[in-house]
Amino acid sequence: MTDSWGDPGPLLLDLNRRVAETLIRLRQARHVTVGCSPKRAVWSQDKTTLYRYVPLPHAPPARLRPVLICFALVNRPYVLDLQPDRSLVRELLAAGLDVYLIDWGDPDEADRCLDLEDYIGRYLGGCVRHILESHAIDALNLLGVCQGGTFSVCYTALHPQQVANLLTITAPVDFHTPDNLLSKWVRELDTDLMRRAGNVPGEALNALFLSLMPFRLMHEKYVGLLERCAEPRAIEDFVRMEKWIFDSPSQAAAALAQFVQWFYQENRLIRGALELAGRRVDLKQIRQPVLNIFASQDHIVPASASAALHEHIGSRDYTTLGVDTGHIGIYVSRRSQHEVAPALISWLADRP
Amino acid sequence: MEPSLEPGTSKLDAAFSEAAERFLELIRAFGAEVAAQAGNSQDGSSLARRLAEELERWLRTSSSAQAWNGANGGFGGVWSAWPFASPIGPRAEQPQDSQRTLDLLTRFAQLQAQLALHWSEIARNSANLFAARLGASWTGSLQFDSVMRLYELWIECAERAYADTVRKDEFCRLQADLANTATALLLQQRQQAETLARAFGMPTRTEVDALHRRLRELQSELRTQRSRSQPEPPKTTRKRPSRSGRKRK
Repeated sequence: MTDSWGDPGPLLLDLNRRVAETLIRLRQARHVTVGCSPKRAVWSQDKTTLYRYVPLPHAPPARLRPVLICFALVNRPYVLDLQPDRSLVRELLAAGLDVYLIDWGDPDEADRCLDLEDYIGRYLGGCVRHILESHAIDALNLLGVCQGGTFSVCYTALHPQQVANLLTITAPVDFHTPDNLLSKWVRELDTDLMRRAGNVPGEALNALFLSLMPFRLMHEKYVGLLERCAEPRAIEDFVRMEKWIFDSPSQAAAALAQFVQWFYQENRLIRGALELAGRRVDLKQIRQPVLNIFASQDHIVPASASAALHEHIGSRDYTTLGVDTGHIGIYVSRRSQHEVAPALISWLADRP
Repeated sequence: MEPSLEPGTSKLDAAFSEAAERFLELIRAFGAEVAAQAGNSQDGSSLARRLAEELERWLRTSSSAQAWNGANGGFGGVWSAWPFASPIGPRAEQPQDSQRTLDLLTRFAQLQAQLALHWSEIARNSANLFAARLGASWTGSLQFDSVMRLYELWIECAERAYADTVRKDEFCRLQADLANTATALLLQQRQQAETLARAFGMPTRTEVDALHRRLRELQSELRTQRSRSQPEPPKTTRKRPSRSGRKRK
C-alpha cells in the first residue's frame, strides 16, 4: 500500500451526490412497463391461463409447429418478454413462430392443496391439449424454463406422443450435484410441516434465493448503480429487472412440498422413482429431439443439474448449449439475445 | 444528502437506500481508519478488521439473514408475520401448549445464537482474505473509481467466505433446523388460534382445508365421470405444419 491516502471529504461528497441522483433516477423509472408483446388469453382453468402471442406484423407466416412456453411457478413468465430489445418471445415471433405461454396465476389459500399432478397433468396438460386440438396437430414444440423445464421433462416422459421437440432452458434434472447449494439447504426441511403451514409467500422464496449470494444480490447490485446514475436507460433496465425479481407469486403448499421432497430431497426424477397420477415418469421415454440450454454461471440451477438430462433420456438427437451467463442473464442479457434465441430458432427450423 | 426512506417510497428505493447507507458507512469507516493512521505506515490488516466489523454488523442486521431468522420473510418469516407473537391467553391455551410454545421459542433462540457464530466466522474469514489481497489492489487513491475497486474486492472476499461457510453440512443442518422450528412455531400458534375460534363457533383453518380437500375429490370424481360418459371423439386427420422450402439437415 502507498501512504498517499488523502482527505475522504471530497469522496464522500461525490458519493452522496451519486446516491441522491440514483434515487431520483430510480423514482423517475418507477413506472416502466414490463411485458411488451401483445397476447390474448385462449384457454384457462382455475387460475392458470394460456396466452397466445399476436404475430408480429412483418414476421414470416408460421410454418413450424407452435411453441408452448412453460415457465417456473416461482416467478412470472414475462421475463421472457421484458422489453422490446430484451425479449426471447419477440425473437421467436420475429422468426415466424407461433408462441404460446402459460401463466400459472396467483395461488391463494384456497389453492394450498394444489399439487404437482394438478400443475403438470391438469394445467400443463390442459394447455397442450388445447393447442393440439385448435391446430389439429398431433404434437407441439414444448419449451420449458427453469422449474417449468422440469415440468416439461416430466410431461414429455408421460406423453411423448404430444411433444415433437423438447427444449429446456436452465431446467434442473439432477438435484444432487455437488455444486447445488439450494439443494443442500433444503435437504433436511420438514416437508410435512411445510405442507401443513400453508402457502409459502413469494417474498420467502426471494429471500432464500437472494441468500445464496447475499453480498452481490442485496448490496453490490445496488451500489453498482452509483456508477451508472447518469444513464437513465440503464436505470430503467435495472428497474424492470427488479420489478420482475420481486414480483413473485405465493407457492401452493402441497406442490412446493412435493417439489422439495420428490426432486430436491429424493432426486426421484433421475432415479426413475417419480410417479405422477399413478404413472412412473420414465425419462427413457423421451426419444424426441431435445435441445438443452443452461447457464454456466447459474447459482440457482447449476449447469451440472441441467446437463445431466443427457444421461437419462432415450433421445438420440440431443443438443446442448452452455451460455456463459447466470440464471437471470440467460433470459435477458444481451449475450442471451445473441445466443439463446438464434439457437432455439435454428434448432427448431431443422426439426419441423 | 443522506439516503433516507420517505413515506410512500418503493421497495426498490428502500433496497437501494439500505445498500447505499451500508456502503457509505463502510467508506466512512474506511476514511476514519485512514485518518487514524495518518503519518504512520498504513496497516492493511487493521483496515480489514474494521471492514470485517462492518460486515458482521450487516450480516446480523440486514435482510441477508432473513431467510433464516424470520425478520421479514424467509421460511422463518412465515412465523414472525403471525399477528399473535405472544401466547394468546390462558383460556385459549392448554398448559402443554404453553410448554410446547416455550420449548420451540427457546430452541429458536438457541439456533439463532448458533447462526450468529457462523456470521462471525464469515466476517473473520472475509477480513483475512481481504487483508491478504488488499495490498495488490489498493492504489492509495481516494477517487471514486479506486474506491469502487476496493469495494468490489471487499464483496468478492465476503462472498467467498460466505460460500465456504454456508456449504458446510453443519450450516445446512442449522438452516433447516431454523426453518423447521419457525414453521413448527407458526403451526403451534395457529393451533392456539383455532382453539379460540372454536370457542366462538367460528370455522377454523383445519375445517376449511378439509372442505377444500373434499371439493377437490368431488371435482376429480366429476372429471372422471365426464370423461367416461363422453363418446369417443371422431377421428380427425391431424395435419402436420407445412414445411415448404425447408429441409432437415
